[in-house]
Amino acid sequence: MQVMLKYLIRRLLTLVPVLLGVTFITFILMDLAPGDPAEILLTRRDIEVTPENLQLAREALGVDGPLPLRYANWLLDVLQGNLGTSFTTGEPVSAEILGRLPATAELAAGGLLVMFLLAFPLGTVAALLRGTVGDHIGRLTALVGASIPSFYLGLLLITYIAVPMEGIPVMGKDEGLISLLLPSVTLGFGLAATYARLLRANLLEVLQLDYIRSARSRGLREAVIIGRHAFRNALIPVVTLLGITMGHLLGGTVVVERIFAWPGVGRLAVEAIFDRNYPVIQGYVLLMGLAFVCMNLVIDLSYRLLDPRVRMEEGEGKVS
Amino acid sequence: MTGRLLRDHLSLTGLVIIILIFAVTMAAPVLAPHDPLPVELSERLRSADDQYPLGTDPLGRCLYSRLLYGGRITLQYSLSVLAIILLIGIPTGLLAGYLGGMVDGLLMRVADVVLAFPNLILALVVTGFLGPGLINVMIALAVVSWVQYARVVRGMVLSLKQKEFVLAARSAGTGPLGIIWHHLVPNVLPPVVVMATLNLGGLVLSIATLSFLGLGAQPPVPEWGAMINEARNYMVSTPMLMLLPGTAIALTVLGFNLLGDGLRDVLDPQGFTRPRQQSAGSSKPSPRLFSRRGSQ
Amino acid sequence: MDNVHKQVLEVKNLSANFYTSRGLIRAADNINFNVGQSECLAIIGESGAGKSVTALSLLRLVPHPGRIEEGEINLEGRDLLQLNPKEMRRVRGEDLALVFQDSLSTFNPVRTIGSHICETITAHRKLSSAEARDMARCKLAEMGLPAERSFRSFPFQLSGGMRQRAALAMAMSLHPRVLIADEATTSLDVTLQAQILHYLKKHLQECCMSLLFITHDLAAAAAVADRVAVMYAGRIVESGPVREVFRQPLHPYTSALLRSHPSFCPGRLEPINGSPPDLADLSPGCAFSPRCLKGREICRNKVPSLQELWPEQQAACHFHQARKNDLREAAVT
Repeated sequence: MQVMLKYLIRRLLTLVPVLLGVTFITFILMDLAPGDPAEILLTRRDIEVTPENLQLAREALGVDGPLPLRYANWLLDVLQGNLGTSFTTGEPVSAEILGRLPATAELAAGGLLVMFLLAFPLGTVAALLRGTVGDHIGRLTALVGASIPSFYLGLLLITYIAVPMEGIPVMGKDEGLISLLLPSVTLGFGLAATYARLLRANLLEVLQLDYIRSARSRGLREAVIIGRHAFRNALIPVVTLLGITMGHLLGGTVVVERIFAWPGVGRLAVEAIFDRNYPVIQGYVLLMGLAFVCMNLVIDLSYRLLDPRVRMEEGEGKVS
Repeated sequence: MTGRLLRDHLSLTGLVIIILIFAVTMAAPVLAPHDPLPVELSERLRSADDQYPLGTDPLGRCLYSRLLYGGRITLQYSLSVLAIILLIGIPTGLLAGYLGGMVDGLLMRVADVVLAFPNLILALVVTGFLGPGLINVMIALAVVSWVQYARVVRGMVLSLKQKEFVLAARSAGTGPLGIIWHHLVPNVLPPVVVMATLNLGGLVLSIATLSFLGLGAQPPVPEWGAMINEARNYMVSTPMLMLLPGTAIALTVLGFNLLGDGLRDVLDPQGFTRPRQQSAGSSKPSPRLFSRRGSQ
Repeated sequence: MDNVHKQVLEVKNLSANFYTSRGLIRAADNINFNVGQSECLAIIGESGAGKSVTALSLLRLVPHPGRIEEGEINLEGRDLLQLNPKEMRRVRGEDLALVFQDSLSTFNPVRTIGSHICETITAHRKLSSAEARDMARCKLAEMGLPAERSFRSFPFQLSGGMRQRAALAMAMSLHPRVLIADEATTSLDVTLQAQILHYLKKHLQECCMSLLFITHDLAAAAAVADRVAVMYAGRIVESGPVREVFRQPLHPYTSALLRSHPSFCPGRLEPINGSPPDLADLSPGCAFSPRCLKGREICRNKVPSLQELWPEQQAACHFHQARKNDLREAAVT
């Protein structure tokens, strides 16, 4: 456990420059925006644009002074949870985003669940049926599934499932868990196809290894061999890929939230982009960057739990 | 055996799909019966006939023509983004890997930071700050994607640098540029081609996605993702408006994926472009039951 | 002479073929042998001779694209080839245990040594996990390993020798009737090998276990075996009591093998002519004939059968079969 703790501390330390970079990029994006943010703020609030007012607005926004100083000020504000105020509503950005965050988290969790529920059984069955017609059909389906854009899939689901069947909600999240169904499927399907392929390939690779033969020679049940020996080992490379997947998942929420009018941060961000509501966009990208970094940290840790070889690389040596 | 055969068939299918789509969309000015832009409200939502092979959209424009021109735009912009990415990513990776030290350290820090954001979200936000439009989407995608190439190329250069032929060239007095051009570039390119092929599918998807969100192609410009967005209000009454561009995107992406998978077997046997992963079992290759020493 | 052995394992006409892209490969061709109680039979031969396939056939674990074609594997009167998969599973590990050469690939890299032994025990015995753990530790200690630590170790944390002993402890944990050691000591250093061979030898008597010792190491075979069977290109070419075979080999391959080994032929080593046979492209006659100094017309056209040429000693060789009568006469005089 001590090894794990040491690793965690080291890992957190390496995060510091990454987080500084993430905040810096977020900050510098504001400079990319065409137009003077202070002027935009004033016109949005129907305040007369005078040199004095502009100066006041600049100070309020922290957009005057040299770049490093502005960044430091902004970072101090961010550390205190102050992400500025929304141009459109005048509410604090942090409150707006946090209010929408649970909906996006639900959606991401739903998508992940759909992904695992589809990918694990399909990948396993395809590996066990290797070379049969079922396997080939499954692989083709997975290939096609991974190529369908999620926004297209979402619209297909609405047109050909929700509309004919009625009663499956397609707008918002007011009808409880059932309203999560189609958005989750839309989000998880493409990823499931990728993972089913990956799991199948890994399982086939593992099932050929000598220790599986050794396990058979010891008279273990086939279910035990696959469940306890093959599956866990096949899962290790899958976990290392989860990091990339989390990116796709978070990116996917934007699209899915837009199609299904899901009241999450992704929809907020797209609205903010059309409104040129820069503080909200800035808060959104900062939040997503942080979430992504944290997810990758968790994935790294679980990877180490799954694979003792990595876990024990340092620290405990060989038994002698 | 059948697996291998199936795979060859699949990558060939991918190639055929890609060639067909390219041929048809690039020949849009010749093949399209109508101008895809002018609105003709009197002709709106017509079904397929001699004049309009696939009917018309809610603004009375020829769907077939828009589909062809739309694909042309999607593919042109995907290729342009790719070209930019390659032009930035490959030289940066080569230099960072070859020079090492500060340059390399700086590149890796920048890469860490860019990769700390989900790809699509960063592209979305950059577009958001730059303002909607295809050109801005192109810039945003290039900004977020070049890093991956730089990293892969750098990794390959680091391992190539240790190889005998590079050491030999260096001891024979070949200069850095000579080594990079004659020894590193030819070895780096094949895996990059694989990566680029697989990536093109992703770029098509990204451009279509951003356009679907309204950030890419602006009306009246036809683009597959934007066309699907325009079709949203008609998806139950006139599903063709959505089905055609949607299927076109899926086919294109499928084609690039199939082709890329096939190319990977040929051009990248070491697996540089595979997602990095630990081997599932022992690192030793499983011993062959029948080693055929000395025969043949 | 020594006929007190009760036969535990009798293998009759066992054949296993591989259907590869290069054609049919007869990896084990018409194999016959017996192993008595407390007896050790060594199967020797170069790599690729079909020893491992024979071992895997006994457990019915021939890997794809291989298949057992015919034969009988009688383990204490039960023909293993007639058992259903469930019954066969109970035989593996319980009655017939296998130790592989490479102990690193015996164990799943992400599970501890202890969990492997425990799951083997609980797969066959109704024991609580605490009882299984005690039993596993006991077995590890018996093999001279630090029980607690090796129990908790992951495979990669042990040295090769320790891992191989752990693999042996696992194989012995259920007191199998027959232990198949497939090159199990080959990768160990000499002193460790001697220790393990000594342990096995002791165990054969104490536990009434039989040992099928598969190796290409002639010295190890001589040290541990009661009888040997020599395999060449998927066939048994000679078998008999270890002392007779090593002192007076009948098959030209056996004698060539002995002449190429320093322990048996000090001073003047003679490598075997030619290269090992390509199993996909065997000559229609004796597989050794292309390399045989005594080869003649019949050797290249007809496969010789295994015949008893000497009391308890059999060889598959036209040359010696032709001289069988001469041999008899020589023995009488």
